Amino acid sequence: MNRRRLALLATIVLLGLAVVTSGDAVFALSGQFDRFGLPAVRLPGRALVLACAGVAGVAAAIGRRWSPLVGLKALVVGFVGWAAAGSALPFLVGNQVAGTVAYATPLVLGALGGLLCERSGVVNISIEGQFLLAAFASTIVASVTGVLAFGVLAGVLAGLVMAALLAFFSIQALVGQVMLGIVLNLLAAGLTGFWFAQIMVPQPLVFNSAPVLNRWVLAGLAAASVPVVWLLLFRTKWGLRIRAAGEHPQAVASAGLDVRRLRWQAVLLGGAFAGLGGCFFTLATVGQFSRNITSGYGFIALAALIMGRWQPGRVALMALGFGFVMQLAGQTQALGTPINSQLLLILPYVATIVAVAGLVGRVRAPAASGQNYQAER
Amino acid sequence: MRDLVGAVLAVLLGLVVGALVMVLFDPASAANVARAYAALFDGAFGSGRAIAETIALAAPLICAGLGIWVGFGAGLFNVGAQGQAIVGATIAAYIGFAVVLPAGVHAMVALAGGMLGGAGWGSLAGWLRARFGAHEVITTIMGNYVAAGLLAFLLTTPRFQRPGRGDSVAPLVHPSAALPGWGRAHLGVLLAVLAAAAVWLWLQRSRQGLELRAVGFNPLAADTSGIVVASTVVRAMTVSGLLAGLAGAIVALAPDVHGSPTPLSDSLVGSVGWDAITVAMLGRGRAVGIVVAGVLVGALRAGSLTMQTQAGTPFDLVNVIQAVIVLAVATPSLWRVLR
Repeated sequence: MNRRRLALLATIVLLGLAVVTSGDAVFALSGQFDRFGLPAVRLPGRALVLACAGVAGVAAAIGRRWSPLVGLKALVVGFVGWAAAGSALPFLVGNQVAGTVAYATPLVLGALGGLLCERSGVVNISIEGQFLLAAFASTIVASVTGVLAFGVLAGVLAGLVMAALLAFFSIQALVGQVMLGIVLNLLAAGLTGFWFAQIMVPQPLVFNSAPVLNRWVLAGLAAASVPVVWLLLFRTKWGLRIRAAGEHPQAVASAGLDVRRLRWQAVLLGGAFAGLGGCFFTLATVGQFSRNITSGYGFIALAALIMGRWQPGRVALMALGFGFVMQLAGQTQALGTPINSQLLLILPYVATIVAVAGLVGRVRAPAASGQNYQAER
Repeated sequence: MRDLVGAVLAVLLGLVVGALVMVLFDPASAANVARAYAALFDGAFGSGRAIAETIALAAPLICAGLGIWVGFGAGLFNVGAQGQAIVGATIAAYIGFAVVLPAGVHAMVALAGGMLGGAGWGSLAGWLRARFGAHEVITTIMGNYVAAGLLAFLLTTPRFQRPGRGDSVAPLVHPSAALPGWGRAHLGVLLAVLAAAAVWLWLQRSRQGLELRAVGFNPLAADTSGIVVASTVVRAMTVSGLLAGLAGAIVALAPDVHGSPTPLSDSLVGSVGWDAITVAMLGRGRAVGIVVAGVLVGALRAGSLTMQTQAGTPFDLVNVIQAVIVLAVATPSLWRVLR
């Protein structure tokens, strides 16, 4: 039943959309200035939406393992068809793909960082703070040295520094992890905002004009990180121990392993990934930092982590999905379609709330995440 | 007493770290540290106007801080005060600019609307927790961004966007809905103190408060003793959201230096809900503590602007100071940790 529910929901939504769809949807497969011009595809909007509803309906009727995914895909295509139908401007497919990957890159890296952390039993609300300090550090170092690699390295180091604070205060000082994450976000916002005004604003050409990194480099690194993290966590002895520390630290301790040490390792490694993600906001965009440049992306990464049920592959898919929605919000604003881009932008958050409420599938956090481990004396 | 000493030490530590941050990349500014802190103090307590500003900023912080305290009491971490305050501010501002009522009544209706809005938003998280076991930390964090997004959406609709404006700003709140006050010193702080007393009475001296604390202490034992845990959880989140909604309503209806409330926009609520977590943490689970902590954080916020204009020190420094203060207070014993 559960397999069918999502696909069925997609069918119903699509049928509803088909009623209100009118006109043709034009999809431009290549950009205006591309070397090879591909023809634009013109499809009747209502037929397209109905076709998607049909696909979702068949998926619901068959009810296999892949049904929810097919239903979701049909929903996305149908949704885009509805949004693009009747618009004077073509829907730029290439833009949508590139934008999705761009948005998803820091989300994937941040969520993987959070994943390592939370799998070991430390809740990470401060992905945002790790992003922010990394974005700042990478910009300033890349600006001063003019070498992108140094900038990326500085970003990773900044992520490590934030992670070290998280590790120290949660693992050693036993500060509540949620509270700690909030405080670290505040600290990162304060530090970067202060130094931005103190150092970068007076001399922007020296300290705030980094060379721009090709975003596909970071996207590639993000894509490569997914299997790496999966292998680390699910195919190595270390990964097994990390996961055990996140599920049942007492058992790990009684096997003679050092829970604190394991958690330190996972939190620091996670910080490095998040730091790499943080570089994206400055180095891979315009090479400039500005106050609070990450503007809540760390929390979308957290949402992707939760929606992806703490599993690398699913997490990356969710990050891509959220990236898709964010890019779509930007495009629909340009198209002037009936859907409001602001409403699209809250979709990831609403989806996460629905998911943790268990309305769609079951979301379960690592059992010991959020609980500080204290050795028995 | 020990808490007080600890709090003072934490504040001192915050100031010391703040000074270090100031000079870390700019050793020449060492001479400026004293000037910056003097300006910070000056802007917070240096004059009647400064004190009024501090108190005005403290009022919503105290209300939302009380809300988070109520959550703590029931063993719930309401990270969603920001979202609840946004909902409260939105509804209060809407009643303020869209409805015509006699002065006084108008402000009360707007305040009540804001409180109800916050309560509704908070109760949603409580219900999801009680009914589906959805962790309130996750739902309330996400709820913050949903509320902010909804407000951003509303501000693009004709009902909320000020006519003739292309940017996202709402019409001015009618003077009849503004909280009465003299300059920045407005009625909000009185409401905050009253709220503190009411919350204390409710938590410590009522049957519901006892049930709430029992659930916070040990839900299983509470259940065994006949307390309905689910409805207690919903009630705690509702009251928590109500107080955060009140905070938002105060922000939306408080007069600025010119005597009329700042119109609703994406940035009106600022970071009240996040700062309130600091306040609840520093308040150490006492009503009086939360009032004092609210004034302290309000003072930091009020002083930060004077610090920036008079000493040229960016206001972001107070975020660093605030973070260090909370870390110092939250760390049980630094000595034991470093051992």
